[in-house]
Amino acid sequence: MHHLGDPLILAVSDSLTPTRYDGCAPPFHPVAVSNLAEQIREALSMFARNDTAPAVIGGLAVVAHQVVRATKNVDFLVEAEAADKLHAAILDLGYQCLYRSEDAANYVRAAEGLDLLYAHRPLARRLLAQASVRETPMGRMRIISVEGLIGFKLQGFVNDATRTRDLDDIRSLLKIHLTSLNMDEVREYFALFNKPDLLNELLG
Amino acid sequence: MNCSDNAESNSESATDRTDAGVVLAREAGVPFHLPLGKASGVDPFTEWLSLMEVVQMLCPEWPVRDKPMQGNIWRL
Repeated sequence: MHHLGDPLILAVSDSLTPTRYDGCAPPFHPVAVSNLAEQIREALSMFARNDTAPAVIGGLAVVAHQVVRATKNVDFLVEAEAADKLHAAILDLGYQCLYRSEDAANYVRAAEGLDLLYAHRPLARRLLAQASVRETPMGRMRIISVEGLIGFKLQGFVNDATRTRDLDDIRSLLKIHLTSLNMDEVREYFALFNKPDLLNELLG
Repeated sequence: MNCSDNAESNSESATDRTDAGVVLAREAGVPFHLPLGKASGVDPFTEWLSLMEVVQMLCPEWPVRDKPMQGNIWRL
C-alpha cells in the first residue's frame, strides 16, 4: 500500500491504447485530450515561428523521463532574450498574462495554462543548450536533462513549500534514474538551494 | 476499465515488474515505471495522453491556475 511520502506513480497501461480495445468501444471521449495535445502543438509552432528553441520542463518533462503522471501543466524554459517577443506571441494566441517577471511568466487561456521560465543565468542557459531532442506525438520537442529537471523541481519547491508534488517528482526521478544520474550535478543543485540534507532524505 | 480479453495475464505481468510497496492505481492493477530505453517501444507521451483521456473524463473541470508562481528564490 502507498505510504505518505512514497512516490505515487500513476500508472498507465498499454491496455489503454486503441489496439487493446478489440471488441469493445473505447470508454472515453477523445476531444479533451486532443485539445491538450493541440495546445502543445500550437505552442511549439509559436516558438518555431519566433525562432526560439525552448526546452520542456515541469510535469511534461517528468513524463518524458519515464514517470508518467497526470499533468496539464505546459512549462517551457526559453532564452531570456526572447521574453518580449514570446510574450506578444502568446498574447496573440489568446492567453492572458497572469504574472511576468525577469525569471518567469504565467499565462492562462480558459482552462489552459502555459508557463515560461527564462534562462538568463549560466546554469539555466547551459541546461537549455544541452536539452535533448525528442520526437513526440505533439511534434519535435527539446527535453531538459533529468538532472536539470530535478534542479528546477527543487527550485519550485524552495519557492513554494506547498508544492509537495515537486518532491514526489524528484523522488521518483531519483529512484528510476539513479544508476545513470550525474549525482555530482544533482548535489550541486541541492547545495545551490542550501538543501543538501533533503537530497539524502529523498534518496533514503 | 480493462476491456481486453486477457486481463488476468495483464495483471500478472504488471505485478511482475513493479515494487510491492506502491499504491494500486491502474485498472485495479499495479502502477509501474515505464521501462527505460527505446528498446521497450513504449513512448511515455503516448502513455501520458492515454492517461489524460481518463483523467479528463473523470475530472472535466481541471483546476485552473488562479495565482502566479510563488517565491523569489531563483538561482538556476
